[in-house]
Amino acid sequence: MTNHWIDYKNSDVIMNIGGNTAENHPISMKWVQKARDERGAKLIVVDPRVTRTAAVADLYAPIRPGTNIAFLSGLINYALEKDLYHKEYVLNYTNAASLVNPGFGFNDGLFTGSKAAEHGQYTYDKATWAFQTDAEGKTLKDPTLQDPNCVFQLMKKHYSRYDVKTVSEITGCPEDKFREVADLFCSTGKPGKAGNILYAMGITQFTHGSQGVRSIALLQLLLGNVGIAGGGVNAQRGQSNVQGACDMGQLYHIVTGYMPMPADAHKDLAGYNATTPKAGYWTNRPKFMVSMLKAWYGDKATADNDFCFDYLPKLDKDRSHMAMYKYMAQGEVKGMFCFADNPAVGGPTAFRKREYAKKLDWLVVSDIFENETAAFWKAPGENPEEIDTEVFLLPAALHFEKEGTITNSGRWIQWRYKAQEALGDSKSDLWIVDKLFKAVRKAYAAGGKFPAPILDMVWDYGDDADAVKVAMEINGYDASGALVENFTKLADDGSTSCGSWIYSGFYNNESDPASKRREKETEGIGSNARWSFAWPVNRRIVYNRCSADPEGKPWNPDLPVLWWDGKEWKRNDVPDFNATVPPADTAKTPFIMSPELQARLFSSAMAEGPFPEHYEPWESPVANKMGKVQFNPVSKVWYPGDNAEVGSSEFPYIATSYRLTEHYQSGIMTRNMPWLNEAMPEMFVEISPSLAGKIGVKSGDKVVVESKRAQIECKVAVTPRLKSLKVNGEEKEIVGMFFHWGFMGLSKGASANDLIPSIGDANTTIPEFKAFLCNIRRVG
Amino acid sequence: MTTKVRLIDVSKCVGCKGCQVSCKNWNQLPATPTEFSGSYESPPDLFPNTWSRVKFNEYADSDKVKFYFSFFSCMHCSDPACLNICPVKAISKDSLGSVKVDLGVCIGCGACKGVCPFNVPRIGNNKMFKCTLCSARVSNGMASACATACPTGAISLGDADEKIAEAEARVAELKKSGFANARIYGKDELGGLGVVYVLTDAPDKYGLPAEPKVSLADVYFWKVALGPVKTLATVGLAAGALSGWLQMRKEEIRKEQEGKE
Repeated sequence: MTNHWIDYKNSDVIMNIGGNTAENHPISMKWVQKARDERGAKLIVVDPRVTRTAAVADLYAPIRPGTNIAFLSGLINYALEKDLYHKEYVLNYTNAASLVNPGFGFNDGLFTGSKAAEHGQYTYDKATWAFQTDAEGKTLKDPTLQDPNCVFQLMKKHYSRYDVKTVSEITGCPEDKFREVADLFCSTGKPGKAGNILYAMGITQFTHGSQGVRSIALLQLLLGNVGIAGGGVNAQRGQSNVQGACDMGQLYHIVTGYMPMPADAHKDLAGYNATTPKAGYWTNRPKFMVSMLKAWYGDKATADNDFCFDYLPKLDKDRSHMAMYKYMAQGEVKGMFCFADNPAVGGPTAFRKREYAKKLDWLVVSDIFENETAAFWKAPGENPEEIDTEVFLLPAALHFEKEGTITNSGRWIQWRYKAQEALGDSKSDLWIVDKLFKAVRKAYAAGGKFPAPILDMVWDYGDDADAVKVAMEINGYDASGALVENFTKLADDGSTSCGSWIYSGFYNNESDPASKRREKETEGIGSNARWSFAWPVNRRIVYNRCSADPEGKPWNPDLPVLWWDGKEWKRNDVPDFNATVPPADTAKTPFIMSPELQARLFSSAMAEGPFPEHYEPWESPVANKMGKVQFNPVSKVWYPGDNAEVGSSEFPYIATSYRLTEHYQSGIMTRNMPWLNEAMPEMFVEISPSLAGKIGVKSGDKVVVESKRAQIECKVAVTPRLKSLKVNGEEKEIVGMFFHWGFMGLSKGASANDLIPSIGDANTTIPEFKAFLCNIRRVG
Repeated sequence: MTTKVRLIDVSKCVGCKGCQVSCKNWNQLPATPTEFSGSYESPPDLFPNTWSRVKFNEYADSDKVKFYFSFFSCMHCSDPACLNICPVKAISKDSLGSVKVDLGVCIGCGACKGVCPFNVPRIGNNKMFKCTLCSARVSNGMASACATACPTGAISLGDADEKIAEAEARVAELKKSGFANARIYGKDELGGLGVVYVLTDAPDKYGLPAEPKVSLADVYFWKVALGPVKTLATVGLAAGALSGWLQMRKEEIRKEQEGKE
């Protein structure tokens, strides 16, 4: 999130699109409600069905799964055409005025530089996705925003294709409903008004998921809703600590603090550092990288040995989730650790996760209950005698049973203490990893291939690893060996260490570490600066220079984040800019993480193109109305032919998947909890009364739901909360399903993810869980 | 202590069932195996080990689909029919307004269930079970478990006067913002309930009786049915049988209440 949960209370209009705040993040509705009670805020819900969030919304608009970009592009066009955008903000804080290479263009679904590749896909040469520069390499700009090659005019041209009628035909949202949403949300383009967009996996889990997020960012920038109280691009993370997992480099393509994973191409540290951005705050990256290496290898890391850069594994090829499973199927991956993850239920095409696990020599699963991944060998229909994989199940402690931190979606790193001892032999993840590492190190001490990275690793957390010691290593130390204040004190000469630069400061002293603070704010705008620690440097709203106008006057004087009083900056938050200089000096450079120092309405960083474009999901009932390219032209196709054809008569219905309040993720925590099973006992799918009439079922009947890949059997709920949508003039039905169930636990049921295709986003590889095609029929 | 009112503002409820599960947790009530009922509502009814639950209702109007949630539990009536009919005086109303059953005295006859206008009491193991308004928590200055768990403030507990004023203000607000059918429920019904609802639509749309009544036929039935019990009870408890014991009990209770205040 750019902002944080409590800041919802400062919003004037909240739009929940691709998320289901009330059901999946129920506590946060407290702050939505506060905004409504105290500010008269309005809540908009855009969703394929009337959810529990929609139930309490002021305005509900239906949308066809997989068409977020068309919807958001429609809003962007509406704001541009009707002059509802925040002009001063756009001119000063974004790259709207920058001039783009005249060779840049967009034609029939493809941006310039495309080249045909395998499986009907494309690759891009991004040469034309660049700015015009002067002799010194400085980007040329037109502050009148009139030049046809300036970002603003290109944007207007690109988005003019998303008129209300077209958007309605693609998304299935009736034109009048769309206009209502557009008028209400774009009302926050007025200076002083705050519009907030809440989203989750209903935006991201598509082959075009990243561009969906980018569409939200573009809309929010146009309306001046980034960096202000009550605004923001707010991803509601689906797990309590998934933000922390990303921050600590758990994804395959990054190390800690969102530094890119070193790759084969980086022969040494200098080679890696050569990829450091040339401007903006990321120019400090070498300091963060060296400090990370020092945290990991301590005295062994010296300038002479490149700070042990060679010890890091280098990314050789795609190591994303779907790729790894493909390698597993091909016999390349021999063993797997699965910590608190249950791909046999939660992964795309989940039955294949169970199938491919048979190829492993060994599998280690650590979880609080025996999950489907650990039990794949005894799934219904399997013969354990024919499966050679050796499976180890490690009993894990629950979050209440261990000490450590949880980083919430608002980037707050909150310390948690152990509430009770773990049951039986269950142990904390830290205990398990500590013992495992020590055993591995002992084995390598006797020799092995390239033992140095294991033997030289700093691992001084005590006999039974102490979470506080780990926290201090992550926070980092200065040259004197004292805890470092924050990342501004880090150096690239090996004198400092820091496990994850963005966390630096969260535990910078032992007596009163910020992460353990619990002081509620009594006055202010809800920053609660002395309640835990938000990365970076306890900043609660990022890009907060944008909360004030170029002269430093807050757009909304009632909710000032930072303001210039004529002599100095006053603050309700930690400034995201140089606050020691007058406002004029930072008025054009509020986005310090971007090399342009401005927000990028146009960017070459994305795989699909500088502007988001609507492409249909991999499986779609209709041809793409926007152009000849049916689906994301640069998505990697792992399983050619594994999808139903466009407009398939065999699989005529749109399918989507989602969650319930009563259960959580793959259900392992909740399906073993009798009270929750009582509150939601069984797997079911949801359909509209019209589809129910067509296939002859009523609520409670059994149905078979089938995709190109698999079929499942479960009960059906017939509900008016789902309606067919008019897409390109034709009524299209939607089948909605929950993905919480599997064959283990106290409540067993079919796994919806068996039906999902293994295809992902071109930037992140996140799988397309939220839109595919299916058939549904009555059983018996 | 002044009488408490539990305020249920359905316009703020998101149907998360936190109240339902928290009630089970605090009171350590085991789960009842349930089956998919065709909607999100589960369990389908109150049981001896389910004292509160959320009702789910959905309606498709011409332009809008309505998805209604309402917390449902004992209404803690100001003049409880259950208390009046109980032949063994197992049911009492304390100074907080909580209608409570003394399980040591209760004989599980079910008369309370028969006369309750909201069909709340449940009999199991020859005893009656229902919501206690968390009187142990409330008398110690805490909110009820359901109110504590509620993320949006849809359930709250407070002094009767304050809560009723709050409800009235909220209804006015809702009417202003377009909920023409918004209303208060429980303020006047049966002389005032211990649970007051802010509704955005007619009570029956939320699964609440539009005009709750204590059925005289039910009372008469139970009076006759309980004849022998009554005799035994009165013989055992006091010298001299009294006629019209129902009225007498009412009078006794009134006096008991006065004595406490």
